[in-house]
Parts: sequence; C-alpha cells; structure tokens
Amino acid sequence: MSPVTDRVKANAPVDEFKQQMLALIPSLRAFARGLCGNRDLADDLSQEAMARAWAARDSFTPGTNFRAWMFMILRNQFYTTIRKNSRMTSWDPEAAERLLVTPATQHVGIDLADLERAMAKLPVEQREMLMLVAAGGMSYEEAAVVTGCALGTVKSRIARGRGALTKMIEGDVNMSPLTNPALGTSAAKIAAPSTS
Amino acid sequence: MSGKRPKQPAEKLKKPRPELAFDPIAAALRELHDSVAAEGIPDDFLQLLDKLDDAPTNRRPN
Repeated sequence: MSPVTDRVKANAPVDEFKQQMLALIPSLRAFARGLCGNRDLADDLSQEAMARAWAARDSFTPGTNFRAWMFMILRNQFYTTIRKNSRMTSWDPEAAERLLVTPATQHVGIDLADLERAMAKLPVEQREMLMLVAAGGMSYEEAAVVTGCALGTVKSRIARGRGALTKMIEGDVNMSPLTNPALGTSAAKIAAPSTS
Repeated sequence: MSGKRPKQPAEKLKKPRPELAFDPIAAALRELHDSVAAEGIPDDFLQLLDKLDDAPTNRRPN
C-alpha cells in the first residue's frame, strides 16, 4: 500500500481512522498553538496526540464524537508535557518578533498580535475554553466532554476569559512583560509591543 | 361576507430574526484559529501517518 503522503497527494483513499485524523490536523494544530503559543511545541503535541490516538484506536467507539476524543487526548498530552517540564516556556523570542509584525485583522479591528499576547496572560483553563468554543467553533457540550468539566463551568470560564481579554485589549497600553499562568513561567522574553 | 382573512405570503408571517451582536473578540479568536488551520498540513504530519502502522497498539490513550 502506498504511503499516506502519496495517497493524500493523489487523492487516493486512506484508512478511515487515519482519514479522520488527517481531517482534524488543522484544528488540532490551531488548538495546540492556542494552548502553548509555540509553533514547534504545538506541532509536537499534535503529533504525539495522533500517535497516542492511533495506539488506542481500539478504545474509540465508532459513531461517537471523534473530534472530542482527539482533542481530549491532545489536551491531556499538553498537561502531561507541562507537568514534566516545569521550565518550559510557551513563548520564544522569534515567535514574539513574528507576532510584532503580524498585521491587524482587517475584519474585526483587533490586532492579532495583541490578542495572542492577551491570550497568553489568561489562565490556561480559560484559554482552552476560548480556543475550543469561540475560536474552534465547538459547542459548550463538546467542550465539556473534552475538558471533563460541567457545562456551567465551561460557560463561566468562557465568560470570564472573554471579559478579561476585552479588558486587556481595550486597555491595551502595556500588555508586556508577559507572565504565562498556564506554565507558571515568566515570559518576559517577549519584546514590548510597539507603541509607534 | 366571509370572516376569513386573506392569506399572506409566508415571508410576511415570519418573525424577523434578531441580528446576533457582533463580538469582535470571538471574531478575532476565530481568525486566529483559522490562520493556523489555513497553513496547510506540514509533511511531517503525513509522514507520521505513514509510520503509524508500525506503532504498537494500546487499549487506552493515556
């Protein structure tokens, strides 16, 4: 059988389980990036989650929510990783440089770099809910399954997170140096946002 | 004289749907998500899918 790479490029059929994972890769990467703010780490987390899901594929019940199952594995992988590596930082200087030149979104009038910096300052439990629901379009119920929280907890974390983001972005002024409460690390490596 | 009222076109009977308030934070978050999702799938993800057949199978993901 041809490798997946060739089959995908040739639009040929791929194993159904792999096909489902393949379809989720963009969302998994986006969720992971939102959690840790680091492209390379996010991709590592996503790939590790895919490998774990594949190894545990017999435990997945076909017809149930594959997306929620995959996101749950990715989320667990994220928490396992940050527990194992307490010195891990989520933001690197190069990423910060790239963020500083990210243009403001034309549609919503909010600078995406500002948004990412504000997201990094949120407690991870609020950030993950915002990434799942507001950014990724999951339902509250689905986010509750992924995070193992009650529906009310999902809603309150989203409301608190959104409120905090609004305050930070509207207040705007000095959003750095950053401290990432998710990882308990100083992210002061981040350059101050340009005020020009 | 009939008491029946004339039928109106279905569109006129429908209640107008309230416009959802635009939430710039939610819109920016979606844009953030979509900007990553639109990057395309890196080759190493596809290579991982190729290699998975050789990986051992567990019963639980964690």
